[in-house]
Amino acid sequence: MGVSRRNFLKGLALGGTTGYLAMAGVSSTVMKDVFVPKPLVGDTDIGMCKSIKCTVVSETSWFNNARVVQDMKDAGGLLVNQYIIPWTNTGVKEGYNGNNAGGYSTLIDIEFMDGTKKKMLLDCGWNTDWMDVCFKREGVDKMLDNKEIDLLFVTHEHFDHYWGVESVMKHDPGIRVIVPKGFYKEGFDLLKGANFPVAHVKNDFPHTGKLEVRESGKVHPIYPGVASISFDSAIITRVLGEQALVFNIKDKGSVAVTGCCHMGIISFLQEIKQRVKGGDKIYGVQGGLHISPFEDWDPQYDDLIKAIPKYGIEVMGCNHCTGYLTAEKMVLAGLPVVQGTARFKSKKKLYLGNGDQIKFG
Amino acid sequence: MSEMKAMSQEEEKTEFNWPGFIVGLVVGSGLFYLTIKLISALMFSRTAA
Repeated sequence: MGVSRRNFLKGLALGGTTGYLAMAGVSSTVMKDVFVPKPLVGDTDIGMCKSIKCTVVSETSWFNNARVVQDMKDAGGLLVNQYIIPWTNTGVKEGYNGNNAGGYSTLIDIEFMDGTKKKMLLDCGWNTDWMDVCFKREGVDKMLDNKEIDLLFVTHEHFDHYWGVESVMKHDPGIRVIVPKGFYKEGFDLLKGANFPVAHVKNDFPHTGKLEVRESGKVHPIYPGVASISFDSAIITRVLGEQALVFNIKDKGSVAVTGCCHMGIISFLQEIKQRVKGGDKIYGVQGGLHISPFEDWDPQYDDLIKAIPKYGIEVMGCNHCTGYLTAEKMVLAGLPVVQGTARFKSKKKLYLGNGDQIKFG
Repeated sequence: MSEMKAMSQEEEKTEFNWPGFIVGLVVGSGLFYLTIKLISALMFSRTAA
């Protein structure tokens, strides 16, 4: 008695279907871990701190939006190397002594669980004349002289966040500096004392302290309750890589502190939620959120505004490249945007401006 | 005439084929395994995003 081909095929079809469905059932239940990687929820314990206070040293990166955009266009477009763009530094009516360059920098005071404190500087601005004035106003110059500021955390290599490095180095060239992976040679050269005359940027005070380059895709602990996360973000004017800070505040939750957040605020918050222990509760946000930095609007930003409330953020201390337009829409959407005082060349009270402070915890 | 009818009925009789079923079971399970591996490789790849 030979095997009928038709019967064999029928058995094969029935067996195939049964096997496929049975495997689906088994793999989605008892063997699911073999097939689906566990979601990365809170796999990094960064510890806890008591509170942080952020002082906005300067959030005014430039004084005339149209001028900075035109500088990039005149140089050949948004992808041109920032070190060969002749940025306008004279004749700008609303600028600082005619210079359109300002800068972004935030001083962060951290209080640890044992009551001890540390200060760190997030970014160092752009125009050294402007940054010198801002540092003096907030006492940062004296803090640097007295070695009270433990480290300079550079979020990314952009002109408005990094080129004011001379204003820091002239007071404390030995300060510990942390930069994200992606820094170009010019960026390291500037730290070592290079001069880029076309872009009107220089540093006459070479860095002598420890320099750390932070790899992307990892959570890097800095202090108890303080960590940084780096991203491989490709950014305009040929900049690569950005990092931001996350603080785990006791009894409150996580606080995300950014420079520009080119990686996107949602991406950053998701990374905190998935990677940092306790990150499922985002208590606060501070810094630039990079939504409408040039005060233009795209309908896709509306979706972003709709997506943010689901994170349950209780305090939004945004500013800088968030854009006033975005702040207005966030307020309308019911987000807890903290108002500023519009002093020292910050234009509106819509969000935290120069000289304003915010405390978390 | 009646003899031919009897033969034809015997030919059409279907018997469950265990060897076919077993082979199908293995092939079906393998297919699902490959499908899920492909999907998880695409969905959970950190570099793909």
